[in-house]
Amino acid sequence: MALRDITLEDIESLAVGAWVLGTGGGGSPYLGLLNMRALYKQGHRVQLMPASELADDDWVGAVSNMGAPLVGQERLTDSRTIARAVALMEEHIGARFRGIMSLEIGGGNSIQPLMAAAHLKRPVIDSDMMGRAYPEAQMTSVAVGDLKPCPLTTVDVRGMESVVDKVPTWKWMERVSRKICVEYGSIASTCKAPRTGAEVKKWGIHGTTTKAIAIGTAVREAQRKHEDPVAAILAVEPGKVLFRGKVQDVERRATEGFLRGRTRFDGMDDWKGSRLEIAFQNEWIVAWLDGKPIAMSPDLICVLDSVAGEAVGTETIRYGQRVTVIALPPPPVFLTPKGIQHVGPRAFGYDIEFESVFA
Amino acid sequence: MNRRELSIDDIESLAVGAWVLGTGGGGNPYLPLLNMRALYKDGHKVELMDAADLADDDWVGMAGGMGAPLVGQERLTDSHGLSRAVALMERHIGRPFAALMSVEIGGGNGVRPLMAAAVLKRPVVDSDPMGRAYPEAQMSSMAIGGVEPGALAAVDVRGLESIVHKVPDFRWSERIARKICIEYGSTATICKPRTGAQVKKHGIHGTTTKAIAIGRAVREAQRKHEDPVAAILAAEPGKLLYKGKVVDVARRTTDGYLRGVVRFEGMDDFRGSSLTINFQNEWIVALRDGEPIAMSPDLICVLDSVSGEAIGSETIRYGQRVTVIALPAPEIYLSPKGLEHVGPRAFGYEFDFKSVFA
Repeated sequence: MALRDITLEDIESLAVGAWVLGTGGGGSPYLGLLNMRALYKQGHRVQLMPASELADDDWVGAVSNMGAPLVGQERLTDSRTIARAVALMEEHIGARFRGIMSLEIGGGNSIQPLMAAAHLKRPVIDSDMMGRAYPEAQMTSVAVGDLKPCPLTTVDVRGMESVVDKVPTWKWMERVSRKICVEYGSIASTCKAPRTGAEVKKWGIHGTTTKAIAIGTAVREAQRKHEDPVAAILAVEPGKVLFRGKVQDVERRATEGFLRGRTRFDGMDDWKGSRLEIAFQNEWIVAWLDGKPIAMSPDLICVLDSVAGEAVGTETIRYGQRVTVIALPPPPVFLTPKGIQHVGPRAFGYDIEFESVFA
Repeated sequence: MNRRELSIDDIESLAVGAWVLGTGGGGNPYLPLLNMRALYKDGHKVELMDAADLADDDWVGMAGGMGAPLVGQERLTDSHGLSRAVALMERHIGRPFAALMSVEIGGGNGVRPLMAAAVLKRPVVDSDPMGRAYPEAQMSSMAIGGVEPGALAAVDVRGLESIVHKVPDFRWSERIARKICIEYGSTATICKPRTGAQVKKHGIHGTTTKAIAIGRAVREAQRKHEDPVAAILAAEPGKLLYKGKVVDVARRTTDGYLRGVVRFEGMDDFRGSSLTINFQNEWIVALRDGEPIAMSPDLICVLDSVSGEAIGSETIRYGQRVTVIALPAPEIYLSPKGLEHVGPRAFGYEFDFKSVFA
């Protein structure tokens, strides 16, 4: 199994599929997609590499944009910023990365490694550390695996560059790097703790770029054929429809570097007379149907435009939208007791026991 | 090569003198002094060198504490935190420091580089970039001189270590480092690198020696039961502003600073007259009967009327009998660019700088 070229068509699909896996967060992939269109036009190309091809002692740079997705609507994505975060990390540790990977496949952060890879001419590893999107540093497979949380580089468009070199725990990494990010304006390009090939192979969530491309391809094909794109997603992924309705209320605030709030939906079709409420912290975290919790993290809660089948994000959802809410199964690492401790409903402050949609 | 070994008696004097030059801030030197006593007892020694003896391409590490002085009363200072900050910065720039230096001579930061120097066996440069203490990064002679802000390493006692690698200007360095410091608990140990050429050109020189001289004058007067405030004014061209007692202190720890207002009632020649001093870590503006009579960059020093020792913005309290004096500011702060960085308007006061010594 070798490296394969990613076509621009793949990236168009990746943008759609990653937005579904973003469960409302990770930032809209649209601006990242525009960057990739421009980079491909200039002749840049990116290759995808399976994690199994990594040598145990290779170094891999994991990247993401950090901050409140809403801010990303105003301060646009520049592909050079994320490349600089990677270069700064290489300078800091004095090693060259064999490949670049996504911290989270969900949302715009699925495209971030491609932008860095295009500038730095490295392959992108077909794995990530979440299999979705999550708002905090300790909510990753590598944190569940107790791998080292540091160092981390943060870069912004003004030329600011900081390194969080040492922290005792993932939570401290989250605290210190979040404050830097907030001071930058609640958005920063980051390169996370460098991982060895062995760590990526053991703790990565594999094949997620390919998976996002497959979801996006299914949605786009259904759109072209005027078929039901939500059904197309459920044909390629073992998901479940939770609700259909329209947005009736959105409460949203950008606070502490996150986008938090609640959305309320009135049921339509089979759900007429029912009401759904979803609480979010960047991502959709817990969904209540008529006051009863029916889906929660780590299960993926995906809010989709009922007609286009494309995902709706926490920063763009608005009154009147017609949506279908589906659940997708989470990566197995999050279903372990340690995983639930990191990303179960209690990790977000909800005093309820995790109960899977797929149990 | 002109280096001289500091005796523990020099350091005792330095602690007293630096506290006077701290103008209320920089943190109480008492805890750094305790550290130095222990280090000297263990056989450590520190040498003082002149900036003039630095080579242009030498690297100098400025080491000290950052944060709200009040927090330093609870989270004590230790020499290993300082040497870790210095070591982290050496790793980051990939060069060893030929010498260490104060980030500010005022207060505990006048003594802190000695703590790292003792452990790491480097000399301390007899200069600093403030000649006093100031609360913000862009208030240094380096910032006014247009030196690049450069990198900053911040560590804490839990093992947290961060580096602000690049910023467009000193204000951004201040903003980012301050937020890291607040998250650490409003106190952090920092190190910033400077070249020998930068220190020679932009440093404020001889300030460790000056602080030792002030401290020695105070301690000698105390021993002889003479007036220690008069002893300071004999050693430095200062001016007595006020004598009185503290009647009110409003203090809050906010945004990583200690801010507030102290009110005094006059005594002796100043009977019937009231004084108010506003502070942000340091004493910034003094108003007598509502009229501004002294302000940054002039040094406003609040001294215990009996012992002559300085009183800090974190330790001042109701009933204390104090003498307020002014000392002249380093030249660099009196330039138009200097006043832009540290004049009253830089602290949010809507009036022009007028020197006590004009």
